[in-house]
Amino acid sequence: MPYTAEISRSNPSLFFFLLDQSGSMDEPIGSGESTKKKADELANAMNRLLFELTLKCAKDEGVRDYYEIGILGYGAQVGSAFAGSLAGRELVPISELGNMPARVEDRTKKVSDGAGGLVDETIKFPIWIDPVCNNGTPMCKALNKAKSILSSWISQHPNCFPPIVINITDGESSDGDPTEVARSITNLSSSDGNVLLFNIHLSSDRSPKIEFPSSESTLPNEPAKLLFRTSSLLTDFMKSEAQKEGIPVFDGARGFVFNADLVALIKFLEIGTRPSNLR
Amino acid sequence: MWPTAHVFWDSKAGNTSDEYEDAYWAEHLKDDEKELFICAIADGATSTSYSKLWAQLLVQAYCNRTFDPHQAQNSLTPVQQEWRNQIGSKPLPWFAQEKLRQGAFATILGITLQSDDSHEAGCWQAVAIGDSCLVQIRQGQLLCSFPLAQSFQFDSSPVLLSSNPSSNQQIQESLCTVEGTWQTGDSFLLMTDALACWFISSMEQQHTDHILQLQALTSQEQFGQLISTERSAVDIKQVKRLKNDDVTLVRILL
Repeated sequence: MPYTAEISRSNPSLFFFLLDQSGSMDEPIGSGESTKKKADELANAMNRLLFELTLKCAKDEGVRDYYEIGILGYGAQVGSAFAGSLAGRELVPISELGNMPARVEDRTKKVSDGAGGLVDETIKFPIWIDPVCNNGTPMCKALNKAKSILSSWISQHPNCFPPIVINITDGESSDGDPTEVARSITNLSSSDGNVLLFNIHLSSDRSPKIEFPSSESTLPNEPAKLLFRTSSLLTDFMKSEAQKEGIPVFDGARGFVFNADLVALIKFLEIGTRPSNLR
Repeated sequence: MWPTAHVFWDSKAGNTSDEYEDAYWAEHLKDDEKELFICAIADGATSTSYSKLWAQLLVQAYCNRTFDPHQAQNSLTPVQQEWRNQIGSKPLPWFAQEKLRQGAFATILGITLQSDDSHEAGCWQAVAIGDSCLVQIRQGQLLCSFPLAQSFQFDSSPVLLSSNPSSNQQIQESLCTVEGTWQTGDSFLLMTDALACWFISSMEQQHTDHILQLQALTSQEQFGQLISTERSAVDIKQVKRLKNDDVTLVRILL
């Protein structure tokens, strides 16, 4: 059965992120009332994803290398998007990522007080990615570069849980139609299945957020529809975990979200028992 | 009543024995009025930190009767305090701080056996939170399975007991209890989830020889061989018969 390979330190998997850093990412996201720039939202979503992913792999003694992480930015140039001491690195084991954020900020989070109320608690929030927005959107060039890195990685890890590629963009490629190169990425495979390509579409469109749709008919614009078509189907395990999280998913649901984030996706990854009362 | 209890365990394949996160404990209490045998197992959640320590503290607290699952929130407070004390307050990296804030999580399954005046029979009560299970065997036949009785009921996200009080607010709703009677010759098998799921699946497929296999175990080596074989074997759907996870079996013979 595909997508059942155990993810372990001796058989790690790979997360590969593609970040749109084009000039249009300087515009506000979503509803007209929002003044949040897409580039800020992207950096925030990315740092939250890496935060959750690192926690998923952290144990008493440190972070276990269940994953390697690659982050490629595309805008004025196509290259590693890490800030700080990881700058320029193509792939980084997650233990190194956890130990070397560019900086750690204090953030306030509402948490349960154990008596039915909420209290503010300060948590440490690491930053690996800073907002960048410059120039065009060379998505095809970035996908081609990703394909080359993924192909090489899979040849070294032939039995891995297939790499997951997450592309975060405002959806409009400036160097051609990305459909073909996206397909060539999802045609790459380990013995456990094909590479999974998921897309996060950060749009200036005022439409409400859409998570894991199974049809493009509900999507508000053509760039969203194109990204939906290039997105992989959610695996059976991901679908059942999404339903447990209260996210309605149907047959044909794809790894695509519109003006939302994919942090929930991290919870769908099976490394071991995850208590349902852990929030 | 003087039950004999044997423990067999194995860590997840690929992990070291130091990384085994299940726990077990037993106490034999005797006073003028009654004689009790109390035993518990716990399964620390892989995705949380310091869950091995938490599982150990839970089984000990259950067996020495300081933790009462019927009043979980209140009686857990000293156990939660002990967990924090043992971890200490050394400076930690951001991810360790966040894991500590979230807390450790574990199942608990406890059984208390009491004999009647004849010492040949008696009653038992069990409590469970999460998916660690017990089965009662009489004359080679399965009498009961608790708290789960069917293999489809196992999933990877059960409600578990937490070292963080704010995660235990609805815990009482997840408490399962059962009681029954025992007689000399009976046995109880207490198992953490991977082994329990394997055992219950076997029963669903009428593979009753697995009862005999577990009852005949005499050494850790035999147990390790059985676990290794079953982890490699696949069922008709090409799914591994025994999930790769820490496994613990406590066998109580009466």
